[in-house]
Amino acid sequence: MFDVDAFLQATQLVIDWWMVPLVVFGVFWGIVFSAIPGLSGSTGMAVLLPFCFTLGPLYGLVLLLGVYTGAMWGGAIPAILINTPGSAPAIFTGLDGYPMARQGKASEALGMSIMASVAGGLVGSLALMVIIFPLASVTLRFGPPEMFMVAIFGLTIVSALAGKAFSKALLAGMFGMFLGMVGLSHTGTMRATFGSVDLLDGIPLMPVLIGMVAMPELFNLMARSSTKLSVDGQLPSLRRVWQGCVQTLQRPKILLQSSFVGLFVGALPGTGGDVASIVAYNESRRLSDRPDLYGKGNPDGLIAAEAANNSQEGGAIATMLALGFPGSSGTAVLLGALIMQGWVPGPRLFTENAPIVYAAILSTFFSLFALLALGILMCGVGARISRAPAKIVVPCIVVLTFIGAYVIRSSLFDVMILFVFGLLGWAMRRRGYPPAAVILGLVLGPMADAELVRIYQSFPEGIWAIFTRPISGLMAAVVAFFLLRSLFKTLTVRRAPTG
Amino acid sequence: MTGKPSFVRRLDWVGLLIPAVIGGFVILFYSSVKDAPEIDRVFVTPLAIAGAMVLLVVLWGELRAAWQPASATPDDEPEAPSEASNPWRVVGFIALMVLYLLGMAHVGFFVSSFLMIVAGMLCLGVRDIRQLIVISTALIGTEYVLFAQILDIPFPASALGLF
Repeated sequence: MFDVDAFLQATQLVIDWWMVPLVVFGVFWGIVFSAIPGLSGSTGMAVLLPFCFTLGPLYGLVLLLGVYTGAMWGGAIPAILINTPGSAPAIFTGLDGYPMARQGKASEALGMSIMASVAGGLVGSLALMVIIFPLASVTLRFGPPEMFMVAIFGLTIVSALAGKAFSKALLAGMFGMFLGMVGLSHTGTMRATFGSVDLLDGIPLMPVLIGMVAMPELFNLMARSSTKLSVDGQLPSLRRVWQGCVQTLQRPKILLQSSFVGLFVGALPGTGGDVASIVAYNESRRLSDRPDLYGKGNPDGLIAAEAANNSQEGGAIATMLALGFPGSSGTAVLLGALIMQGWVPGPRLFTENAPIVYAAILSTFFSLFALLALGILMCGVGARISRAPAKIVVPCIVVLTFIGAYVIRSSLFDVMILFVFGLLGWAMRRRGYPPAAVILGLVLGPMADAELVRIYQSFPEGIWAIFTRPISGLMAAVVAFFLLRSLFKTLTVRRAPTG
Repeated sequence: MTGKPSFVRRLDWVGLLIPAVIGGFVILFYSSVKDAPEIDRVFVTPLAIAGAMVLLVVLWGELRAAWQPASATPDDEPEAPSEASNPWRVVGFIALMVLYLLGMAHVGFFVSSFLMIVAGMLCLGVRDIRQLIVISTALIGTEYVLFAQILDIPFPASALGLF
């Protein structure tokens, strides 16, 4: 439970002037690394790891948490401005953020993303502080049936991405699931590697993501290169960014709902910001009065994705600290940093080093305030990029994406993947197949596959185990309800014109 | 005399190519796991069956759209493509990208990236020499310092000895 004595000691530890430059530098570093396509917050953290070791336990942890906080938002900048997600979770930010930028609301979209990130992060940090142990005990009950249902739950968003062409969206989602299962399976079988060593680890997510999402838009821009990236009629200004921040606070329901969804998903081991964004975006669309506006520049979609992406940080760190499971690559680096300092995450961490752990958690609040200030300043700079002529920016972005695809694994194969999926994504988009459905399948397909294998390995009744456990059974009922409701809606809409 | 175009002419070949590519990939995927232990196929087999059914629905939609254009349902309609004022510019740029991919390993990663930006901007209509040089040099210089110098990421060595 909440340790008051340790908390009081922690407050004394964080009242230290050295915390300010550490937090500000960490957040700035995280934003920059996450905003450059091809780099990521976890890369930024990994680069700083040796430096953290010399800083000492608390300072090192505070610096890394600052990077982690900044990185959770940085990916939204290119996602909104140039439809190139800087990180995987930002794809759902771009789904509504980029259309907003195209409608001349780039500054407002950036402002909304920053405030949603900060609000989501605050919810996550508060929860991390207060409910770390109860949350850890709940997620500990999540076995393969529950995790399988989390994946299936996320996959139902394909219906939200479908637009007019449901069957094409479904096919695109299934294609993504098959792509995600390429490589060495959990039981050691090589799936569709065709003898290629590069495919043993599977098809890399980021090059496919950049190729499918960014390239089609770049090809469209090439065809009309006299235009600007966004059709912003006014000069970008800090005032409009701030207006976006205020508009976000005027939507408390979606903000809180998505933050709690993100927090819960983040606490599940093996998930990350991408899964949290998918589930929160899906839920916000489902509960909306105007689901048809999603994907067309709806601020609610942007806020849901960003709030969940940042609040999941609290859940992911809680699970990592309490159980020692890294929920994402970022928490894996944090775990490495803790182990490097000689600490072993788990229940003993809180009895032996509780004040330092609480102090590190308290520092995330400082990081969030630094994110708000730095984010608003960097939004102003970023929004100006959107006014640059496409004929200059497009070749630069193409080269940046190619370099970005290469540096992730130092592999020319990944650059090839980017190019091939860029062409495929362009063709698919022109024929009504949503590329986002492919990405969704690519992220959640392997998770569903692995969990189903675990179900068969652990439960003699096989897939029926889902219905014998209360949490997974309830989730299955909810998924069935939403699927039937979507089917009913589709049939009703089809019959309406002829009836 | 303007007659109604034939069924074959009305077919959307790119629209048919996409499900064909997906179907081909799924067949290749499934053939690679057909001899795997049964547990490895508990998810793949039902997904492949469901995928085949959806594929048939999509193909049927494409064929029906060509057979009876007026009866196409909203499910079969592609989203309106973005306005393409000059598709040849895109074709030219794609050709440049192919050359860029080939050049990475042979000319040098950063040299080919520099040439790609210059050629890409020329292709899209930039004629100001100063803009071409300054923007390309600044961008590639920054990328080189960040990735090759600070982060020490290894880049492929070129046959010409250039970076």
